[in-house]
Amino acid sequence: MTQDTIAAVSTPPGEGAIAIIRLSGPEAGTILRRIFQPKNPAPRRATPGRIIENGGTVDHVLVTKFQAPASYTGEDMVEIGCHGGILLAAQILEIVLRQGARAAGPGEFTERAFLNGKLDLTQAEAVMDLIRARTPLALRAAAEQLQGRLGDEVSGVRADILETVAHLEAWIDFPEEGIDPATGEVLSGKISSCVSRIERLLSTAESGRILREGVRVAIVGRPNVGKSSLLNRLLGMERAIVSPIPGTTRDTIEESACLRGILFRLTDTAGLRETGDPIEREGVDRALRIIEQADIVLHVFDASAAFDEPELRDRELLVANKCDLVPAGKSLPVHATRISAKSGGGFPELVERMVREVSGQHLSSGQSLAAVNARHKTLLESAAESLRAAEKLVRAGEPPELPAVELRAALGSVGQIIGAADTEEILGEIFGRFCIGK
Amino acid sequence: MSDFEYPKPYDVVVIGAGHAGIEAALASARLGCATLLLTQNADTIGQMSCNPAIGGLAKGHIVREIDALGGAMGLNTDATGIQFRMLNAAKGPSVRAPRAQCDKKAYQFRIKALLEAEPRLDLQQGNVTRLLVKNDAALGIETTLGVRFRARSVIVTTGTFLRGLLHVGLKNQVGGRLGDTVSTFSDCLRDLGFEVGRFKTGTPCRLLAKSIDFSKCEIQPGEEPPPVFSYLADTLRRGEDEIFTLNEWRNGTLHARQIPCHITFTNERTHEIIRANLDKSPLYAGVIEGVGPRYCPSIEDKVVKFADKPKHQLFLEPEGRHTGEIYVNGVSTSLPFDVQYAFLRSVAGLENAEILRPGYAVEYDYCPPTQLHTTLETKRISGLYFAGQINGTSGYEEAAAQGLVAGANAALKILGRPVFTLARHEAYIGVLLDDLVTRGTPEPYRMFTSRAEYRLLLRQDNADLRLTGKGISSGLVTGERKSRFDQKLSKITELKSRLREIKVDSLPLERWLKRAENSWPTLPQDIRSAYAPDIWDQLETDLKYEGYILRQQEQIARSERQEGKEIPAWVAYESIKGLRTEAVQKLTKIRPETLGQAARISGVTPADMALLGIWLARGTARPPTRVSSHKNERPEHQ
Repeated sequence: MTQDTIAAVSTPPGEGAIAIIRLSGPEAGTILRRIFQPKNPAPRRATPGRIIENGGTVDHVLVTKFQAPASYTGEDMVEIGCHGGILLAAQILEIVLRQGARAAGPGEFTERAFLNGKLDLTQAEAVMDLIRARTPLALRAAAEQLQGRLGDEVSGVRADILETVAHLEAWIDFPEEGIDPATGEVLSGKISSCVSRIERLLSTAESGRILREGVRVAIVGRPNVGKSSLLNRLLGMERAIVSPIPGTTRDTIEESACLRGILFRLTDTAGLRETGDPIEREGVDRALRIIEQADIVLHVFDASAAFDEPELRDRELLVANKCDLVPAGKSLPVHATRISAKSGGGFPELVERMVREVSGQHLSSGQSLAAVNARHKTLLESAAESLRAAEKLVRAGEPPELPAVELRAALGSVGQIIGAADTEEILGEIFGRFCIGK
Repeated sequence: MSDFEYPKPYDVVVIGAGHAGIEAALASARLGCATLLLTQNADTIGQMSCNPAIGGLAKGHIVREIDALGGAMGLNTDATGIQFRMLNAAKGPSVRAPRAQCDKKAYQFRIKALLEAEPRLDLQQGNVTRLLVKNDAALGIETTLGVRFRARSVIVTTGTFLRGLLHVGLKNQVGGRLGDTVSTFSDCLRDLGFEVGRFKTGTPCRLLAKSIDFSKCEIQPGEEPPPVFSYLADTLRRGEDEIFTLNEWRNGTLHARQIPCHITFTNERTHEIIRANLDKSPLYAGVIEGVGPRYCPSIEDKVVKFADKPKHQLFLEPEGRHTGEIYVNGVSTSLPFDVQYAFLRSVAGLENAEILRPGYAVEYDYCPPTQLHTTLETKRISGLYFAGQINGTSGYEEAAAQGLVAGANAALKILGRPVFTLARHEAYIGVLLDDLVTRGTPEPYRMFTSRAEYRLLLRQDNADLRLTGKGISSGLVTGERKSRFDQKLSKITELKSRLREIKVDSLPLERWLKRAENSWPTLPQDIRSAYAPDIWDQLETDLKYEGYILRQQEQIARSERQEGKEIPAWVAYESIKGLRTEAVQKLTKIRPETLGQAARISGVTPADMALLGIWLARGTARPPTRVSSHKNERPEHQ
């Protein structure tokens, strides 16, 4: 039986020391080979290694491979144990999905196990109940997530695509009805506006992630400028949720703090400096990657010592520490926030700046945004991809039945979020909009 | 009433000699079954009750498919067409379709002669009143004259005649077509337990050509050379006595004396007249209860629903070469005669038009097609088949396709051979069958290319490559059509094998043809002339759209998993734990034959499908231990 390969984060959401991403299906091994070093771990053995994407290490993980039929589902399976936290697991899941796996529905691993004879009959009824709950549950979850403006926006995009499809189909099927040709600028314009709407939705996915998973803050700076004291002070400021994740090979520490109602995920990094020590260099490399992924970078320097004014990039805030030790009259960069980690001076101002930065980046219009989850994101991305292909075909002057294929694929993808559109609905749209009838 | 049992027993009796009945009877007889075709009126065989055209988008595809399977419609259209066009010629190959205006009378009489000449096929005039049934199996039929015909299978293709009611304004009369009688046969179907519904359709008025000022209209000529429907069009010869064969093939092309159509438009005054008289429309007065088609609204509907459109296009289509009757395409109506007269005369070119026949609406009984297997055999009565408008469809082509499938299956069942069905990815006919039996239809069903999810594969030009092989293995295609197809296939195989080896502009032919700017007619003479144009067309299209074709083939492969999983007929859905009540009801009513079909039933959710899939996959499915064959026994209808 040929099945597609499914994947999901199998540990419950929330904080935990580790999280497990599970894949099942014929492509599980192939996908693993593309993202894991070493490439070919022995089956049924926990193998340490790295998840790689675009040449960079995403995380150090423990992988166990199972070969059909000796697995939970009876298919080829891979379990990736990564470091805990929703963010990292979600990131690895996304990588796996990009490599061709499909996000599993609730109960789908169990369903496969059942179909492959891995569960006995006494378990059957429980499984059936579980699967039976699948759609209503999934629908309810989707409905909750898609309330408000986000849901309206998805429905709006779907209606736009449906309208475009209907126009194209009407023009194809009723050549003698005097329907305006669905060609050229008008059509490609319509399609590209659908793409923009989806892209906007996808960018809100980022805001949704921040609301759910927290703002990633990297604390960087040269050694001994007081990064750790800064971290501790931030954690101590309010009722902080603290869960240290001891790095195994990493020398970064991640902590969470809820400041002014926003969850911040603070990562203290190794001091940035040129070094000959290989271990320290690995720490520096890691710090650089964390900077890359961060939503906000707190660039800390010691105001009491001699310093070079660092070049600030986007998302970087300059923080002058040890201001209590600064001799009067010493000039500091104007845009630096002056604090003293030791005394706590300047911290309300720092938090204020961090919140403003987040708002500026993601929550500008004060929208109440629900999260676009990984499944929705994949579907929206694939809809956007189909639409872009359609637009290209229209611009190239290809015959209309080709962009129609892409547009209907896009409609199908968006339809999986908020309800499928079948031929009847397309026909309804055609007959509602065009006076057909010889 | 006399009680006469007809001495000759038949294998198959077909009730009704419209487009469905014709193909059904021919298919059955050609497969070797003794077949009787019964019609109420032997002068109206193969009548085009509405417009005089065959083909068009999706419908033209269907005619090509019928032809590829040995049916008669394609060649009969080629032989009697008076205007030929290829629609969508400027769009891609998969959405091009041939369309022809036919000489209505020539079409009818030519096909009648064909039926008369067919071995094993008898043609008789008679009006059927009831079906003879025993143990839920068809045994034959009885006519109004008390003649009983024994048969092993009965195919019902009664069109709009079942309890037909004709409306012109608020006046109405019974009949299947204006000027014709009616059939009460649906009463018998209702008594047998069939669900019967009511649909409505309409037809416009016909005018006298000499009363029309064509100089005020736009002319629409046919195309030269005429695009043809049949893969055997080049066999068309006009024999000495074949006066109803109008066209013939000579020197590599169909020779047809084409007659143009004309185009004119309604205007605001036309619409005012119609609006002022809506109270006299049976549609708006609530007299008509049947559901009409959205794609073929009456002119009163267009004026009301698209009030902002200042004009509607009308096509003036000649009904034949030897008649001055003009069909006014675009003004299907059930308004009273005087209103028709007035609004027509407000149209440019029709100021002095004389009505030859008024437009009218017809309501008729149909049986929701979810009561059928994909073979078009009814689930209720074994050996009973339905095809055409009785199944809620509209259109000559849709009817003919069903006739072919029903006729073939009725015969194959008697012969003890495998059923003949087509899948959605194989043919528009497959889409038609699957839509009908799994989804039913909320309005008279018409085919559109947008109904076919594998549209790029279902081209009108490759109908033979898709279907003739299946036609051969089922026995529908024999003789010349078979040998030509075998030849064509071997030529294509040969050319395909040489695609990399032949070089053009130092490129392999395969790559050369894939380029958008290249096309086979510009190939060097020596390469080009080695293969026939239709072979080049095929190959070039396949190459140019290879990416998309492959993609659709992958989709098919993915869906095959569900499509191929059969659901046993005896499944007791209510015993499957967890299925929702709505799903149990829908599944029990429709009884899908495969998981794929079940998934397309509206109201069956993915969760229901998962349960059903598990239930089947686990092998918990067992037939009931005691099968009672007498449970539904009915006395013979005498």
